[in-house]
Amino acid sequence: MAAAIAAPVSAPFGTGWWRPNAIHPAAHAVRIEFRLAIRDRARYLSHLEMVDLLLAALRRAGYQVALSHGMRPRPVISLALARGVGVASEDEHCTVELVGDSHDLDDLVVRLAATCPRGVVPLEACLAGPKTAVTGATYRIVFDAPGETLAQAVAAYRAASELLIPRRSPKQHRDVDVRRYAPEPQLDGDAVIVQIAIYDDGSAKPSEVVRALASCAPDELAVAGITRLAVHTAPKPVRVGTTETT
Amino acid sequence: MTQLILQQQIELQQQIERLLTVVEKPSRYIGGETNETVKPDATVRVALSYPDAYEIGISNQALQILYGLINDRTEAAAERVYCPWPDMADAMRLQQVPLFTLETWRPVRDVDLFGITLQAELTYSNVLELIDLAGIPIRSEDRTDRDPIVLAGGPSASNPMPLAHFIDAFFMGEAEEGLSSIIEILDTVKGREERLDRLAELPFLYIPARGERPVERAVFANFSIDTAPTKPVVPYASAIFSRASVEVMRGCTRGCRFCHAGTWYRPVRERPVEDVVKAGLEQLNCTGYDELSLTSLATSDWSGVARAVTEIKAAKPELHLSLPSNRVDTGPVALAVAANSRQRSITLAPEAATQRMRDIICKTITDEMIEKAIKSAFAAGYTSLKLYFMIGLPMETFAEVQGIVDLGFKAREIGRRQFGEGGKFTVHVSASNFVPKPHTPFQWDGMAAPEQLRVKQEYLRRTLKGRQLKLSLHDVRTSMLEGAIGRGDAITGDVLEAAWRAGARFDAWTEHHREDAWQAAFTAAGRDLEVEATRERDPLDPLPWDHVRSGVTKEFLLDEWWQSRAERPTGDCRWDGCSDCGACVGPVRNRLVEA
Ligand code: SF4
Repeated sequence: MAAAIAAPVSAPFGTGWWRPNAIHPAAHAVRIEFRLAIRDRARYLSHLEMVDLLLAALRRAGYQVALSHGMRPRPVISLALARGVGVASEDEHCTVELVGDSHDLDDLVVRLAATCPRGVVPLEACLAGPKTAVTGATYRIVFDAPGETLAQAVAAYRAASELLIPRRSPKQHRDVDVRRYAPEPQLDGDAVIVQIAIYDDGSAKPSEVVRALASCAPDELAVAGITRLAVHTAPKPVRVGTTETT
Repeated sequence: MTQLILQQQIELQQQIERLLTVVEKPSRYIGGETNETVKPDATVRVALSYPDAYEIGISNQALQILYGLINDRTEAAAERVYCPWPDMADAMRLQQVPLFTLETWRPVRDVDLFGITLQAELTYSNVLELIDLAGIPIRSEDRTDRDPIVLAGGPSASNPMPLAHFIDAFFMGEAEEGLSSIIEILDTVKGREERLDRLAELPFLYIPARGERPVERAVFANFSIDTAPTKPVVPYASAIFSRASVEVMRGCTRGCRFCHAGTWYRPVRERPVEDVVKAGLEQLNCTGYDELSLTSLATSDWSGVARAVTEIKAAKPELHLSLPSNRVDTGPVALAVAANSRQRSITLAPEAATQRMRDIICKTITDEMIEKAIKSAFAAGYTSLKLYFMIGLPMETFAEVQGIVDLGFKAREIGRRQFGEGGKFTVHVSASNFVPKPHTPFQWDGMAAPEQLRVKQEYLRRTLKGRQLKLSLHDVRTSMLEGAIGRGDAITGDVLEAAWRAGARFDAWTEHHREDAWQAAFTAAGRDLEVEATRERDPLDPLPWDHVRSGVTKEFLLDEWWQSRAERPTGDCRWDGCSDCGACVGPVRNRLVEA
């Protein structure tokens, strides 16, 4: 599995798992990464629901998650890259600090598999390495459209110099050049495999790639499902004078 | 399963998946939570429903108990369904997707029994929404062998009349023992009319189509010796309650005259401490929760509470243990501190701020007790004190409203003495509107007029403000609606149907409440919403729910009503002797544990 996890997407206060009188930062905790798949109906769980669910599954499996330091200690757990609701995944990276001096990693996967709900499948675990940054992810997007339509869409997409897709949210109102982040979608039967890069200035969402492809297609292009195949990471640049601890 | 059914099922699942990509919070509809049960080969299939959104419904303990009971102790399979949020409901109608259960995504219309819990009147429009989305004819009389038996239970079923057109059978009282007889009938008898005939023989079921014969409330006499459920379904993060909970006691005989549960769940049955501790710890292991709640109508009244807190805290010192529904007079602060020493917020519910009003409503606590509880709360380090009151109670004068203001300020003064003038603490005063409920001594009283409630609310708003004070009030419109439906009759059912057809649903949610639809529906039926809510009933006139026997006699309720007019409280039969309410029969009696 990929060596380590990037900047944590920390679960915020108020989602139900934080308790003021939980265990305080443990003196002995092991930082572990595990990789999991999110399949079937579980893909409709949001990022926060997934964090919550993993915490409860770890507790049911008999593990105690260490808490962070500070006024409001929180369980130290993070998922490397937020996943859109409805997107399945074969490569979710979770980093967690478990109380104790050491843990049998194979045993952890087995125990967690028994306590995770339907569709959430732990795959493997290892000790966390140095911190990394997420540089991108690869997706497989299955379409419900004739092969010819899809092939034309992919060809037109790749030929375009830019593909602006509007991003509208209460906070944001801008056009994203999807092609810049995902320049080379590849045809794979009734699907498209696409790598989406994450740059300092942001990234494109898989749903935006779908919209961009649809805008290039001669006919309607309906999506049957999106699966994240891999999360890509790179060593995090270490500032001169700081020491990386693992 | 035939090829055709299998094909239809696959198509339905594909349709659902398409909807999930466009609706808000799709996790409401996916099921698959930890401890869910799927029994594909069951011969009787039951859909259990709470007529509100997933996050509300999944937190309901009663439905969780029934779910476990049916799946673990009977041959039947119980699956769950909650009311689809309006975006989902609209999409389902547009795409012709029928209501489906969470576990198997199979149509609710295909089950044998569609059970709906009635916890509050403001969910009634959602009951119709659920039935309609399932593709079941709204009115019982239009249903055929193709439709399931629609059964409603829960506390609000105690006045079944507003829903009598739409529900095939009402379960009166506690379902633990009676459910198996219903499932047996469904398993052995086929045909809708035949099933209803057999169900009508059960004393606790009211079948509107079989006439208004007397129905007896079922009481789970073995509550104290039955094991508490240990494997509740663990909701996804959005649920309002995400915690383990063990019901430590059923019933309450304090006799508060406004309280429906105080009549409906009599007598008191306590669970032994050992069973509670064992079930609590097992639940924590099975769920992964880090909070345990000991629930009941008044947990501080449970004889075993102090010992249970000690034992649970000894086993799990870091556990967040919560004791909801504590009474002001039973050492709530000391208990709360013992249960959860780092919690900073505590709730006290005096309900009324003056001695006179507390005597009227039979809340046997004194000013001194309240003051003492507030003092000890602040002394124990609580920085958020919540005080619950009601306004619009029978015989209320302005002095009672002023009493709420005075008590709010007194609490702040006590807080300032503890934390200093500019100390960081909050006194949070909450005043809800009194709504008379069937089967209570106040069932004959009307609600206060909406203008009166608004004037009183405005007064509270104007006076109860300042540093360290917070006030929350309930919406008068929804309270009036609750009052107008709760004591309604069959004509109220027509009103309900008209309001729902005009778009009423999710009435308890301010953003969805459609007052115009309700007002028009009442007018069309020749009625007035406010008149219905504020109408006093003559004790000599029959009440729509007279055929429902709660066990507590009408004479007792009327005596209590007279006692309220005399401003005299009645003692609690656990300690002050039986007041002959009628609830204890044979093995059904108060059962207290050894502390
Ligand atoms: S019959 Fe008597 S002992 Fe039983 S609940 Fe009523 S008042 Fe209490």
